[in-house]
Amino acid sequence: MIQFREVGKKYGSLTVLKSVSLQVERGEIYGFLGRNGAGKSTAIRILLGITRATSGSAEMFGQPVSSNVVATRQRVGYVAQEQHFYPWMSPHQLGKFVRGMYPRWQQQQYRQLLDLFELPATRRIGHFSGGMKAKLALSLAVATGPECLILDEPTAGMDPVARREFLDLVSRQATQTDATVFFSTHLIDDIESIADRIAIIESGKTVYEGRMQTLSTLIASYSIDESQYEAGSVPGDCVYQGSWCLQKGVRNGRWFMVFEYERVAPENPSLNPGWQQDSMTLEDIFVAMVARTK
Amino acid sequence: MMWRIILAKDAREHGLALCALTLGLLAVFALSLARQSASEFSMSSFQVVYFALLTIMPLIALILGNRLIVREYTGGTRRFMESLPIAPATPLVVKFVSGWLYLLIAGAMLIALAAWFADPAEYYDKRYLALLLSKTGTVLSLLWSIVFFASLTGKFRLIIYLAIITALVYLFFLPGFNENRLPPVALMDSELFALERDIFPWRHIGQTLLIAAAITLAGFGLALASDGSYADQLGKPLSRRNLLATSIMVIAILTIATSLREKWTPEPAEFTGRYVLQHDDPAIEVAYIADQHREQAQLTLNNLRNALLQMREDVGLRRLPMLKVTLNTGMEKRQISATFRGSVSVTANFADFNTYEHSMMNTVALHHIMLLLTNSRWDYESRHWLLDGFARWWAEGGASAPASPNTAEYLARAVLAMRQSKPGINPLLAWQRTTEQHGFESAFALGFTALMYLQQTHGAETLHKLASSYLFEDPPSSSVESLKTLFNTDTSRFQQITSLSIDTFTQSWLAWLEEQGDSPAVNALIDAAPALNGSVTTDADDNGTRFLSASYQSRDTQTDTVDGDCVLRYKRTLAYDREEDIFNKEHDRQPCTTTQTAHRIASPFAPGDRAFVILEHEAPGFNWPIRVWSGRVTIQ
Repeated sequence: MIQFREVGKKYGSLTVLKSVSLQVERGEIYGFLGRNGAGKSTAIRILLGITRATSGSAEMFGQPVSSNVVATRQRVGYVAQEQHFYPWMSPHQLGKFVRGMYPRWQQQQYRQLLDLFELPATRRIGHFSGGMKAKLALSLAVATGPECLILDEPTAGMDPVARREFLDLVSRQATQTDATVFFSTHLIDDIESIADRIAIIESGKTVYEGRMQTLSTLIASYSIDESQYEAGSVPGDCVYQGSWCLQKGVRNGRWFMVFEYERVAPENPSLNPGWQQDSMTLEDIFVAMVARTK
Repeated sequence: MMWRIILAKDAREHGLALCALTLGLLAVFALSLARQSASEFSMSSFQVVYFALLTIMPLIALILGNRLIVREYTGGTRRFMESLPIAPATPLVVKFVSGWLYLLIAGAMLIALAAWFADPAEYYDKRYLALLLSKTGTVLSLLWSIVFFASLTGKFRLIIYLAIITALVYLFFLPGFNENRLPPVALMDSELFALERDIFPWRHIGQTLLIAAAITLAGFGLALASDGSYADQLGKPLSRRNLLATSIMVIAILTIATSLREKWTPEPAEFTGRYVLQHDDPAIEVAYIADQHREQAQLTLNNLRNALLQMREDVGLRRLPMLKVTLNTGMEKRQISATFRGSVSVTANFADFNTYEHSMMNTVALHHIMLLLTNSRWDYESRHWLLDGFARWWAEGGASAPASPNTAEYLARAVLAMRQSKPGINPLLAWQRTTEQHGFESAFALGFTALMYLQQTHGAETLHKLASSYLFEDPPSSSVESLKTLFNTDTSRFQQITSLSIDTFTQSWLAWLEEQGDSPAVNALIDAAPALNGSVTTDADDNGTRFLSASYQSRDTQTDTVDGDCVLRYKRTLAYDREEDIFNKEHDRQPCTTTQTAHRIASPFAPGDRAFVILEHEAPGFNWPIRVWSGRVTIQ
C-alpha cells in the first residue's frame, strides 16, 4: 500500500529527511512515531505528492507518488496536523466544495459523522474549536471513501474525550472498510491502543520498523542506586549477548542503562549485585530508541 | 472540471465583495465623468479612463490581489487546498485568470461608461474603442501581473510596491532618460492615451504584454518553486527581527534614492560660441544669431538682469535658477515660448522688439522662473492672478521703478477687459476664464493693475509679503499638514496679509480701474479701441464647403467706423475644453467693419469638428491687439 525506500528530502542546505524506509500493508493501522521536528509531516507531504523527495522513492498503491498525484489523492483521506479550512464556510458548504473532487464521496456518511461528532452543519467553521476542526477533518477524510487514511498528528490539542472518540472512529473505520490507516503522532498512547505496526523516525531516519510487541521484547532497562554505581560497571553478563546501549544516565536517584538486543532481551537475566531490571512502557522504549541517534 | 469547483468557491468567497467593489468603482467613475463634463473646462470623457487607470484601478487591483491571493497564503487555507486532489498550479491559475478577467471587464465597463458620457461632438468609432480597449487591457494586464507577483511575496509585498514606485519616480527624474518612449509608460502618455484615434501602438502593446508575461511567470515560478515552500515562508507573518531588518532596508533605499535624486538634478547646459551674451549673477545667457541682433540681445540681457535683481532684492531670494533666452527669427513676434526644468528657457523673436514687447518677454521669463521656484505650486487657478501680476510687476521694475511708458496701455487693456467681462464672476479667481476671454496680454495687465492698486493702498511691503508667502511656501510634510492646507485657501491667505477679503479688494480695485480710465493717456487709448462685440457662425454652401464667418458689432451705437484691422484666428480643437491660445495659426486679417460680415473663410473642417476661434482688433495706439471675442465653435 505504502512504501518508502530510503526517502530523503532537503530544502537547500537544510536536510529534513535523511533516509526513511517503511512499508505499510493493506488494511493495517500503522503508527508513525517521532518527536516534533523528526520529519513526520514532511514524509506525509511526500506521500501525498505535495512535496517531492530529493532522494529515494515513495510509492502508494504500487505506483510512484509523483506519477499521478491527483488520482492518488482521490483514494486517500487526509487529516492534517493543523486544520486550515476556509473560516467562512460551514461544514455543509465544505462538503459541497470537496465532493466534486472525490469520485467515491459519501454524502450520507458525511452527514452521519457530523451528527456523531455533534458538529453543527451550518455554523461557520471559523467559530469552531481546534478539536471540532479535527473531527470535521476526520469526517471529511472518511467521507471521501478512502482506501488509505493518512492522519498527521490529528489528536494534538484535543481533550481526552474527543481524543477517545476520534481514535474509536479511526479504529472502527479501519475495521469496517478495510482501509489502511497511516497514523503519525508523537503521543505513544494513541498508537499503543490501535496500531498493528509502527515505525519510529528520528532526525530524518527510520530507527525502528516492526510490531510493537516485537519492539518491547528487544529492549531492556536496568538500574542501580546511584550511590552504589561504579563508573564503567554494567548490569551483568546479559549485556554482552548481542546488545548495545541505547541510553544511560540518572533518573530518580538511580543510574539506569537501556539496551537493545539483536534478537530478544533475556527474561530473567542474572544481574550484578545492586542492579535490577525495570519494566518499560512504550513511551520509555520510544524515548530510548530516539536517544540512540544522539 | 476542478477549475470550475475552485472558481465556484472563489466566486462564493469573493463574489459579494467584488460586486460591491465594482459598483463602487462605477459610481466613483460616473461621478468623475459627471463632474468633469459639468466643469467649465471639460476634457475628454475618455481622458477620465486614463486617470482611473492611474488612480482607482491600481487600488482595485491591490484589493483584488489581497482577497484572491494574499489571504489564501497568509491565512493558511492554501495548505488545505494543496492536500486536495487537484494539480498544484490549478488554484493559482484560476486566481490569476479570474483576477485578470475581472480587471479587463472592469476596464471595458469604464470605457463603455465613458463612451456613454461622451460629448455628442466627441466622435468615436469602433476602431477608436478597440484602440482604447487594447491599451487599457494591456496596462491592466501589466498591473495585475505586478500585483499577482507581489501578492505571492506575502510579507514583502509592500516593499515591492514601494520599490516599484521609487524606481518609477527616479526613472522620471533621470536626466536623458525619455520614459515616454518606453513601455509601459509610452502607452500611458497623458496626451496620446485618449487622443490618439488611429494608430495602434502594437510595439508598445507587445512589449508591455511581454513584461506582464515575464512577471506573471516569475509569480508562478515563485509559487511553485521548491514545492511552494518559498511562497509558504513568505506568507508567514513578519517577525520583529524581519520587521527591523526591513525597516532598515527601506530607510537605506530611501536615503540612497534621495542622494541619487540630488545627484541627478539636471545641470543646465551652457550656451557657447560667439553669439552668446552671459551674466553670472543672476545667471543669464542670451543667444542670438548675427551681429545685427547684438544690440537687442544686450538690451534683453540688461532688462532681465534688472528685473531679476529687483525681484531678488524685494523678496530676499538667495539663489535664482539659470535663465536662457534664445532668439528665433522664424517665430511670430507675439509668440514667446518658455519651458523650465532645472533652468528656464525662453525662445522669442526679439530681433526688433519694442519696449512693450521686451517687457512682455521678461514677464514670460519671470513667470516661468517663479513657477520653477515654487515647483509649479503657483500655477493653481485661485492664485494664478498673483503669479501673472507679479511677473508683470517685476518685469516693469517693481515698486521702486520709475513710471513705465507701458503703464497706460496696461491700464487701458484692463479697463477694456473689465468692461467686456460678465458681471457676478470675480475675474481674479476665475483666472483661466479671464485669460482665455481676454488673452494672456490683457490677463498680465489685469494682474499688474491689481498689484498697482494694492501697492497704492497697502504699500510695497504688503506686495512683497504676498509674493514671499508663495515663493517660500513649503509643501506640506505630513498628511495632517496637507489637510490643514485645505483650510488655508488662497483667499484666506490674501485676507490674512492684506486684511481685505478678495471680493472687497476686487470691487475697490475695479472702481479704481474705472477711475484710471478717465486719465488722459489711458482715455486716449480706450477711445482708439471702440467697444466691440464679436460673433462667429458657420455655414455651408451648395458644394458642401464649410465657412467660418465673423461679424463685429459696436456696443456704442454712435460708432459705425472702426480704425485698424480685425483678425480672425482659428485652430482645430478637441471635443472637450482645455486652455487654448493661438499664435501663428491660420488667420484672416480684414479692415474692421461693423456694418457687414468682416470675415468669411472656407474652413478645412468637417461637420462635427470643433474650432477654437478668436477675434482681435489691432487698435491704433496699442502695441498688441485687443481680444474682442473667443470661443469654441462646432462646425455645422
